[in-house]
Amino acid sequence: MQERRWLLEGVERPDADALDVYRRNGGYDGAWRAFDEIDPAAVIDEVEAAGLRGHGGAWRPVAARWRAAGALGGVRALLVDVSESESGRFRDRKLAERLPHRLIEGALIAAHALTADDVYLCVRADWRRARSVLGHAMDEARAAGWIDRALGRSGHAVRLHLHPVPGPLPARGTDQLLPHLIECSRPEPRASNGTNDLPTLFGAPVLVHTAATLAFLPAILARGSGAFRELGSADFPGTVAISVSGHIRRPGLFEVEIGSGSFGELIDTLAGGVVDETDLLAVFPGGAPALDGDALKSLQIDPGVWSQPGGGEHEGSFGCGTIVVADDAVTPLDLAARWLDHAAQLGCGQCPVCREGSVWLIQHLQRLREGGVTAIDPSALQERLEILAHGEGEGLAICGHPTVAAHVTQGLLQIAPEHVDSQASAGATPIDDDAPLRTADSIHLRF
Amino acid sequence: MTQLAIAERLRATVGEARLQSLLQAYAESRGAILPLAVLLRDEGVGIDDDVVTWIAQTCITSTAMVTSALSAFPELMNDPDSITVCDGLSCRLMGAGYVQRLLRDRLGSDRVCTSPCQNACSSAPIVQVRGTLYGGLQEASLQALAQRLEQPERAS
Ligand code: FES
Repeated sequence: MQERRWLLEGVERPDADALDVYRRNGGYDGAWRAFDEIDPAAVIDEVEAAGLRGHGGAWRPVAARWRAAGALGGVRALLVDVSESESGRFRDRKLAERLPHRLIEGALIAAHALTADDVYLCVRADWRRARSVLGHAMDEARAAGWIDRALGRSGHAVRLHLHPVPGPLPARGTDQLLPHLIECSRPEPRASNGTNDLPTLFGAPVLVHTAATLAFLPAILARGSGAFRELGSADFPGTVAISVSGHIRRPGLFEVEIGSGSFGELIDTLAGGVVDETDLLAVFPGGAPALDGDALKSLQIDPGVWSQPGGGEHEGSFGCGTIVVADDAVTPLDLAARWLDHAAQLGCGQCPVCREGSVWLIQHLQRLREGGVTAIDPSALQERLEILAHGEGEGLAICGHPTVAAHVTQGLLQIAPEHVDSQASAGATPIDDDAPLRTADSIHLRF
Repeated sequence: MTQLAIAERLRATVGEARLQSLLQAYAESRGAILPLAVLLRDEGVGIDDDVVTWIAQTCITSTAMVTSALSAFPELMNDPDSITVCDGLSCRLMGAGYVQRLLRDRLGSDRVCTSPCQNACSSAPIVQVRGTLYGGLQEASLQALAQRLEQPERAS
């Protein structure tokens, strides 16, 4: 397996964040083509021909979303999620810090295709470096006439705004969440009204895209949809940037062709393997049940395989393919307790099933860790996990956050159910306060 | 200081051009609540009741709305000099618990806080000080960081 950079092309170039470096390497050629040489409808045709899908986790076809928005009367603004709502992912932060102009150019192209006049780049407030690099890049782009000014023959001017958002946000529902966040700054997803209506910002319809999705657009416009189509699978063309971290020799962000291999290969080759060559556990913060090493070996880096009815090889959401790896010094039970605790902290607290269900489960996992299976009612635990997992589908929760929390926890508890008692008596593990520091051999695309 | 003097000081800190462009970026000026708070915080201004009142007046909204908005963002209300140790899953696996304990022992519990995943997990474990990220910490680099942080004026 090897890296195929499209999204991250040039990420290791010195001064990759500078406008002149970006321009020297073909930057803004795609935007110029979109604004000067073709009209918005042709931009949508090009993106449709490329088959680009959203890289926020739902993998919806981008052009279809744009056409649907047009059919509903169009959008006033584009909101770009630069907040990594998936914990364990570090793709969009890397893009913002190293390739801010690619992000800006992609946002310009999308806004033009949608004939939207405003773009809000919603960046995590506590990523001060990302905000500062993006802010500087916006100043450069503004001075060079790319934003806030009529561009090319289209004469379309797009205004760009940097909006800091608190974070991390709940793992699902950013389409509804981000506009709400700008309006009143509280990170609470809103219930969908059950129609295909667009989310609104101060009453005006908007569209929300993940940063990485838009950052594919410049090269698609500049190099043509055919080049993009040559990569990946028929339904999921292109590449995907996978964040790999945890007990791995070479953690980092790896961009690979979709369908080019398994997560096991990625870990063994590009990421250098597991630190202690032991069995491993893999957590997918995007919402798939956690796995052990054997299951991981055959698991394809292809959202199309995962999304088949019944799960194909593996039931669950591919999310963005983010993966956190732990070696067998950590027990699945320990990891489950930590994960659930983490998920509960990110919940917005609006829905009882998530707010109270998570606390109940955390308490039971704690009892399980301290006293083994006899200390709890296992069927009640499974029942509560099921309720959490189906919270959104059954109308008990506004968003899919509890589903993600439950799927990961269920997966961890199913890894070695017969050994739960021994896991409970395993004592301190590397995830506890007393554990020593661990060090990777090297870091791929270091922060 | 009078309310007027406080307002003038904050307005000067933000700068008239930046203030106007922020307010004009949103169809309703309450959109500027968080951007204004973050901007002031970046300039080293602590968010207290006076600041909340000024933001409310500037964004033509209530102090309750501003307080509610900021409550979703505890980092904004923390001491700007506090040291944040990431407590996300990857950082935990790489020894964030140890980092927290060592920094609390050396610097005192009130200077050290934790955060969920900072999304720089490849460089775990991570510590953030005044917006600067310290990643890939090993025993020696952690000890060196703690030593520098013991002298707050040279911390960043
Ligand atoms: S877990 Fe610490 S940066 Fe993600």
